[in-house]
Amino acid sequence: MGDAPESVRFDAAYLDRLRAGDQETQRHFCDYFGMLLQIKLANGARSWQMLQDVRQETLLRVLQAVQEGKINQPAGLGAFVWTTSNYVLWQFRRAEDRYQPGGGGTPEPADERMEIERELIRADLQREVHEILGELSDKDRNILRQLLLEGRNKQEFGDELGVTPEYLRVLLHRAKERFRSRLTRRKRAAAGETK
Amino acid sequence: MDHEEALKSQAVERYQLGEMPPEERDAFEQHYFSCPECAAAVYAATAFAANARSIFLNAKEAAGRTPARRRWWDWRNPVFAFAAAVLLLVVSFEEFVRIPGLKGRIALLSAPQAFASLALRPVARGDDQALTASRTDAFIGLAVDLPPGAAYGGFVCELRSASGAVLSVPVRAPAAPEEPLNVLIPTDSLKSNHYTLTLWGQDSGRPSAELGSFSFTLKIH
Repeated sequence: MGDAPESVRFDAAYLDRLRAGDQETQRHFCDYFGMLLQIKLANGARSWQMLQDVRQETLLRVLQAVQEGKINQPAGLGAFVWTTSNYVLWQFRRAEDRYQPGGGGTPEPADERMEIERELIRADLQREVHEILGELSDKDRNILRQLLLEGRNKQEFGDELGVTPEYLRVLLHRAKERFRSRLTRRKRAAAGETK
Repeated sequence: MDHEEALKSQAVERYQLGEMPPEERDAFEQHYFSCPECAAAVYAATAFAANARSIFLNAKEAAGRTPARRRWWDWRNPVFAFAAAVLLLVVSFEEFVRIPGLKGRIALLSAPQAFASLALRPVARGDDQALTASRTDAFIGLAVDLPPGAAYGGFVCELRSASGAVLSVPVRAPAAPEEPLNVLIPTDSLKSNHYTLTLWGQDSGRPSAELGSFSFTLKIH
């Protein structure tokens, strides 16, 4: 887990292999949707532990539904995973609220956030990101630091640094696209080396 | 939301920045769960942000540890003098405070002692159990009856305070099924607060089933 989700066509053949218990297909299913669930649940789960539990439970329930023949439309697989995760998250939150009279809505501390992001942070990815950050102007690098590390309100520092919401989106878009290009180049280079 | 709409509306970046209203966020999530292209874009944006955050954090921490310009062993170096003073303080603290404190603690733990204990029962919300302990007590004891038929290779126990702090509690299976499960928790790690103890059965080293949650109020004087 931690790599970019490997794109694949979710067609009838994929669903058949999943239903048949094909190991490679199951591994791909868990890696692909496990990563998307990690990203989606980062804002919904109250803790790293809850995120892991909801993710695991969602994948199990979906696989079970596939094997019981409850999913017939391959194109609906992704949406089914998403819907199931919402329901599982609701169940886990309700269970937690039931046994915590004060409510479990304490804000997530900074170290918990790093824990949730742990699977996405790797030395090889950091090298790429470090180079991309080095290519930015001081102003743009500072903007990203204010946004990503200091967690400052966009409106507040936007006024201070003279940056519009559109500028922020474009900055993030360009950084993301450079990052994607590098990841694609590395993947191709690695595929070329193994041939 | 379809792919064209996602591209036109800069959905990935707005999702990343938290600019979407809840309905739009749900629609976009449902879309990228089915669209490999958008899924890859969301992954890239999230992984970039996570790694950039880590890099910025490392740089911030490193900046706080900026080395002195002079050679550190130069006696005229105020940093060296400060470091020497800190070392003296640390050694003094260890010698005169912490080590005697540890010795006292070892002496306390080596002697027979009494401690406050409570037999926990599953309670509905609003129905509280209370335990009062002294700060001079080394431990509090909690006893939990296992549900009938709870035959597991091991157990996992977690103590959570009302403020969200979580303590993992080591647990040993009782000698016989009809005996309660007993846990001792050092009072050093506790404060006056409301707590919930949750117990799981364990199979193959993983928690497999929640056996119960037990709430109580602890007062330490």
